[in-house]
Amino acid sequence: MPAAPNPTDHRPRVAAERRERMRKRLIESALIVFAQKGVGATVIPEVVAAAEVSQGSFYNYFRTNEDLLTAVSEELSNEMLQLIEGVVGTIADPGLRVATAIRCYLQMARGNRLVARFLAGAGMRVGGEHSMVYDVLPPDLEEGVKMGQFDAAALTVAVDVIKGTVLVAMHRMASGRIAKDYPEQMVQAMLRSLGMSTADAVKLTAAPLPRLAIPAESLLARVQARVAAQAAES
Amino acid sequence: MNPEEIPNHRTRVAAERREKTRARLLESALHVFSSKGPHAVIDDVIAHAGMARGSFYNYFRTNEELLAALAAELNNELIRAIDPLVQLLADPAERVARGARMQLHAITRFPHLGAFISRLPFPTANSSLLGLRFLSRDIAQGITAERFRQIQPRVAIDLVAGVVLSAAYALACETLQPDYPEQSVCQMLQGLGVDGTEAQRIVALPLPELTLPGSAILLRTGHDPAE
Repeated sequence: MPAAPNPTDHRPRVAAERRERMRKRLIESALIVFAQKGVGATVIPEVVAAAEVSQGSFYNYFRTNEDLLTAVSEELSNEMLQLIEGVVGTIADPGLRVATAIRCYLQMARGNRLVARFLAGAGMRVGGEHSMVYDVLPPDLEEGVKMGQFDAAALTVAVDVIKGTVLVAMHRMASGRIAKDYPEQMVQAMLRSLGMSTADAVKLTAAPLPRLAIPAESLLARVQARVAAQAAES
Repeated sequence: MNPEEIPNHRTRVAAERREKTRARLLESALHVFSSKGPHAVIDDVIAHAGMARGSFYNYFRTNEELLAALAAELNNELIRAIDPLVQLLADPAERVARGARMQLHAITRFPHLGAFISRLPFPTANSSLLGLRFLSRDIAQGITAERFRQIQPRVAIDLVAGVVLSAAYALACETLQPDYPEQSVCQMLQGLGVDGTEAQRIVALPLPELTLPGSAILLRTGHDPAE
């Protein structure tokens, strides 16, 4: 008779935790190497060396350079979404909450070109199934529809509209100079596409943005430190 | 016979042969990339085309060059078929809508096109596919004609690129309701400043049929359910 799983057997959990730690370590090493060599670079040999793992075990986590870029970008993006959720969560008005969250996301990337490059470089894959965007955005949009701020008909495509527009904005911010209020203008266009009037869209994007405290151990803080170090070198 | 005609004839035959071989390589590339992704290597492409490695390099130096050439070729095929139909319309809003809807419906009709686009690295897809340059032309016209209002040209172009790209990606990756392209384009028009009722009227207009020439790579690879 097969043994029933022992409830005190911690091995699977310990193994999963170790796996998660290793994955994190690889992502952090990759972040640094991508930051040094450029988001388009091939980084696997350096990442393997920096994280002190064998080539073989690396491939247990990521199959390709692209997979790695996607993972770094996803991690970065989810971290941003989490930080933003922390400050917009208390905003009562759903339209203002959506507008402020997207503005924060765009402004964070605008202030750090490397972040914009990561998110643009990974493309649509950043908004893949693991993205937090599916947890935070749809409930806010539905609430906005109930309040009469957005069209109900827009709901089926709204997340895709926002994801795609944000991605193109990332690409724009990663590759050139843009007007200071470009993020606000993009958010106004997104809000209008959800059925909001221009006047309301302008109003909801006019408030000053809340300050985001970026924890020192976050990937974002590391990217920022990297950028500062590079600026000091040149 | 004029002696000068002989080399001319040879040159022409050589050029035609070269063109045929290039087309064969692009067809193989579409087949391989749409099933394996952009990291499929040159080996896969030459194996599929039944060609020597050395002759491949007479046409493309790198994988990236091949990807870019294929993206440009597919874009040209679709634009040559779609743009004359877009140009039949006078209203810039109707033009943008027809162009975007036809591009999006092409993705549903040719799943291997969708598979290829969804696997392309992002800036390549952005700069050379989905007729975005032609859409930009119509957007500029719409702003001049005040059909699109209270929006900067750059913002309008980025909004349209974003909506079309992510709709294309969604259509390539999932089975969505048949009016998903219309719904996307309807929201896009509202973003450009067209009011909701008018946007709905525009996306409900009948679409002309997309006809590609028999030589099109899109028809020569994969299966076209319209046939």
